[in-house]
Amino acid sequence: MRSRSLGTRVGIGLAWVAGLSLVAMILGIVVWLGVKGASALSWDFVSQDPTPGTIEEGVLGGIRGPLVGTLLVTTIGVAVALPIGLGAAIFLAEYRRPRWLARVVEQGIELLFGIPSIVFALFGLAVFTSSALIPLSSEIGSSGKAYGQSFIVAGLMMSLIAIPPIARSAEEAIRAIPDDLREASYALGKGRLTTIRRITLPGARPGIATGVILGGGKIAGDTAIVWLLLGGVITWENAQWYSPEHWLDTLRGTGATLTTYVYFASPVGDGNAETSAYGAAFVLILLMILVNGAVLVASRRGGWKR
Amino acid sequence: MALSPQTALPRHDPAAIARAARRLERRERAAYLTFAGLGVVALVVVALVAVYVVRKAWPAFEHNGVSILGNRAVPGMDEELNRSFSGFQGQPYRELHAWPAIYGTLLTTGGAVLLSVPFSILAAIFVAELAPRGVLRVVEPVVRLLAAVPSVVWGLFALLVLAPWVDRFLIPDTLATDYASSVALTGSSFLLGVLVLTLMIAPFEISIFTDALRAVPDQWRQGGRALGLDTWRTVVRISLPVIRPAIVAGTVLATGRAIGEAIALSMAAGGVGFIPNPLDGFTFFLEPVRPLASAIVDYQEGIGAADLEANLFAFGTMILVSALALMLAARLIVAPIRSKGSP
Repeated sequence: MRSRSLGTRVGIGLAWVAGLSLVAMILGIVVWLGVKGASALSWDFVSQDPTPGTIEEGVLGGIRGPLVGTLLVTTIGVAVALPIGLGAAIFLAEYRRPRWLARVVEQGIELLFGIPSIVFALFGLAVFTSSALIPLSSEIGSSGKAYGQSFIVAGLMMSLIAIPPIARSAEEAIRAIPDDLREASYALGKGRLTTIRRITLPGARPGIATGVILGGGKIAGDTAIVWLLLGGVITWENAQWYSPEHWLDTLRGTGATLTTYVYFASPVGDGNAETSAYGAAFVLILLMILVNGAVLVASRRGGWKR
Repeated sequence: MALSPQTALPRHDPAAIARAARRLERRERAAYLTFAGLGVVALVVVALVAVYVVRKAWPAFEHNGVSILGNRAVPGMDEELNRSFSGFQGQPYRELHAWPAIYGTLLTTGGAVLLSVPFSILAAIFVAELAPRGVLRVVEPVVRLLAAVPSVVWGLFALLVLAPWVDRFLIPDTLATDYASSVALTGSSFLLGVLVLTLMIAPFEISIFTDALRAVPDQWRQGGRALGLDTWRTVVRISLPVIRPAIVAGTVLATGRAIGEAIALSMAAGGVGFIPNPLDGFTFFLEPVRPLASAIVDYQEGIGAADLEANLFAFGTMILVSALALMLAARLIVAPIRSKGSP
């Protein structure tokens, strides 16, 4: 190999350092949380609800409520975002007419992607505190104003941050389906809608699944919306939230997710309990690793093989 | 019009055929309108967000005018926010001078962009051009995972690992006592805010830059090699200039994210509406800030009070306007560069 100039060697060296430091960072974060959080992890930690302790004790108990809260908010958010994101993707990839409307749809998704989640949180407060929307949260006394904080409200606002990733992956996947498959379907006398349902969507399933998982991961990792729209609390309104007659109240009530639990249990929150914060953060990062693994699996499974 | 063979057609009844055709046509039309309608939802939501947030913020802007962007040392922004919650001397208090928060956002965002862009370019070069296949199989998922680390985890890291470390090694006791009269130096600071934001936006930039580098046609690289450039110089002289639009666009989008990051900064940046003074030398970096987004999180508990609510929505409006302006700027900057013949 011929000798390389100093500039080249330094440049390549720096690029390697930058690239490998990424691996070091993720290892550092996971190992740090693992070491600090492992002592908090136990069956009780996962299976018990948090309870407020004295100021010295900080928050006691486990993370069952927040864990379920994360699942709940994510489910609501994805359930709302999927039809909207997928519909937009189908419009953009299959119809795309008139052209100006396609531009409008594209712009909308791009803008939605660029708006920070804290702004969505404020928007949620502004909208859902109006008296007409009391059924979605609960009324402040009998003032005619709504709290504007509930699982439904948080989930709805969360859907806004999940729409762009779902729309993007789905559009990309639909575009990747070769036109001859569609033409074959038309040649068999199928209409456009049937072709979308029977050819396009099954073929784009891996991409759609990827989008859903990415969107769900974004929701599960967001703190700002939950903090403002689910209440800065760790206990749920109803201690028996899991029994069916309370389900509706739970959805309309305040609560916590893993992210707000970590925030609450950290030294800046009211429930100062470092070990629990570490434990919950470790669970959260494991969840994210799981989500990323699921993306890898989902993007390779199914679809039309050529 | 394509007919579905499942709909059994009465062969010799033209009226029935026409009805079936119309039914199909209506179905197709309904489907088209549904998809188009779902597509428009995003833009409608964006418009609603803008309207609602600005409307709620309006009282604050109306009362303060331009001075909302200004600074008033006494009583200071934090105290103004407290007073807007509880009133002052029995009267509602509506003054707001938000410069400390705006300055905090500028400092943390600016610092993070300055730090993250060179790093992200290097990392993207590594991923797209240098890394051997085996290494790549590890690094690519790592970048994705880094982008997925929740902001609250970065905040926790800053709060429980970096802040005590900064407090112990960078803030001697004498310095802390010197500053005690103006602000408490605890380790949580502008510097940590910058570090946390850097960690958060770098993966985002890396993935954009990497995609752009991968889109550079291989012949262009080979052309560089044929002219006697080595690997590195090919990257610097050919690939990087070519992906300049992507670098600009990615950086601008990342800036928008940094401006809107609330939780991690609320945990890391100190949470005091203080104005770090560059003339303080190195201590400048150790002084706390309270950026716009984190102020919203810090004061959200009092949002039931109308005056505080207007103030926090004013912060939200500033964030929203900056984010939208940045997206517009990205487009205006990128379009002319792109038309000069990049891929």
